[in-house]
Amino acid sequence: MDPLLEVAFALAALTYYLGVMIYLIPVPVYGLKRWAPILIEDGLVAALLLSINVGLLHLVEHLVEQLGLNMCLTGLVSRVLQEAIQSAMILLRLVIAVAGATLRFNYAFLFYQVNSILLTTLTALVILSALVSVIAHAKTRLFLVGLLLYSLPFRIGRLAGATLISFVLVNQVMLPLFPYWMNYFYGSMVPQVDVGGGSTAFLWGIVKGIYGYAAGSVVTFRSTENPGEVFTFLAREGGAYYADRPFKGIRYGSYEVVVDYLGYTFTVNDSLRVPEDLKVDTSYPSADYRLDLELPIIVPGYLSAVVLSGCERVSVYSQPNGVLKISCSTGEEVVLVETTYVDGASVELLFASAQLVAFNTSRYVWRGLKVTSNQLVFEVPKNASLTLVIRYVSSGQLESVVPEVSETRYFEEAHVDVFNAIVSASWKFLEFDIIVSMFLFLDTLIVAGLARVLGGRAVRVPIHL
Amino acid sequence: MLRGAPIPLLRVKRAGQGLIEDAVWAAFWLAVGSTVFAFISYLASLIPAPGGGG
Repeated sequence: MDPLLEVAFALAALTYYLGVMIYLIPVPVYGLKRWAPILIEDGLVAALLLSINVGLLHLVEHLVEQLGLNMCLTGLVSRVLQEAIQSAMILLRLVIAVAGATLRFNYAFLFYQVNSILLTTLTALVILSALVSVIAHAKTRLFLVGLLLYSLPFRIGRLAGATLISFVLVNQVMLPLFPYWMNYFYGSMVPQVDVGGGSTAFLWGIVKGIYGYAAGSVVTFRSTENPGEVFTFLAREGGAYYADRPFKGIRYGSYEVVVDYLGYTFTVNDSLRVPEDLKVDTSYPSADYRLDLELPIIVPGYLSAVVLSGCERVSVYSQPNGVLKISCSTGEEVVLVETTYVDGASVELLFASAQLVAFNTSRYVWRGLKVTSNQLVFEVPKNASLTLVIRYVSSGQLESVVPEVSETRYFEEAHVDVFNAIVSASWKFLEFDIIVSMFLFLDTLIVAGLARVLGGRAVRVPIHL
Repeated sequence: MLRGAPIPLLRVKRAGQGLIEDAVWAAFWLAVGSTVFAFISYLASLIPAPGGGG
């Protein structure tokens, strides 16, 4: 356990027993004895909060990831906007200089006013970039320090601890929303981010093999129009993946669809047009479309695969007890069979109707899981068919095994309409400043609110617009 | 009680009662302390258990 956590636990226990001991003092010091039950309760609350500590942080991170938000776009957008503001400031200087030279009126006062407002906007954007860096790199540390402060006896650090805890939790959710905030007011300033369901398709689908459903496969939609725009989904039980969360729908456009399963990568479709190529489907309430993906492999069980190369036609017959009979008709003389499975399961070859010529095993790690892959080469008489009987066996623990995948919508670079940004910054400078600063202010208010809930006392927010 | 007594007997009785009551509470919380902390760890172990897969 983290040393900070150990200290915090010790502090919580100390608080509790201090309360007990104060109850025991034989001298009737009422001022001190009033604290006794408070200390006992504080010790228990702190112990509870400490026990769920990292779980709470992971819960919030998981929530954010499931919604499809991530922090990188905010950092990119705020940096681009900073440059836009600096361009606006240069433009302003130019305009003032030209106006001052051609017309005989001195516009200096106007310059100072507008420039200071632009400078405020710049400060707000720089603060945003700094917040993104801080949260991205130090959130666990800050969270633990907050917990530590919270556990101090006599409520010394309660307010500070509660504020730190809520700062980390709230910003984890708020900061990724900045591009959506800007887009809400300024229409298409960040065109990759759409507000309002007009141009987003919500869909689901099943990833299936020739036999079986490939649960645990990772489906990636990569935009062919905006390089660096990638949506990633995990196919869950039954092989179904869902693109149905508010920020995880797929924007209208053209995509390349790639499925990664146990290290095998299949490009299922290299130019899928959304929504034209999608099938309208109303069986699932949160999605309007369905897109099933078919892989040319056999899936005998969870996180396993049988891949055949050199077959013209493959038929699979299911038999009891997890046994599959595979029939491969081929014109080739050599058929390569690969059986791949994750630690905790195995695919056994019970029978083969042809002679095994070569055998090789390799082990590798795929998304945090240890995978074994056996390559078997069979020599098949010409125009005959190869029959294999395999059995899939799994140990009970396999249900909870999931590949490591971050299901987010990822942008490698921010496409910000810079012209739009400079015009808004210059022409509507006051409004632009207020909108950017208002985001930070709302963020602070929500942090203060949550801190009050945790700490039980109002947090003062210095208001400065 | 005796009026004009040298010791404020009623006050001593009240204070003494308060002290004994506090001592009883202290003994109670002392005894259940480790049980309560164990219960809290149990509650905490329940919380992230079902989550993470939605």
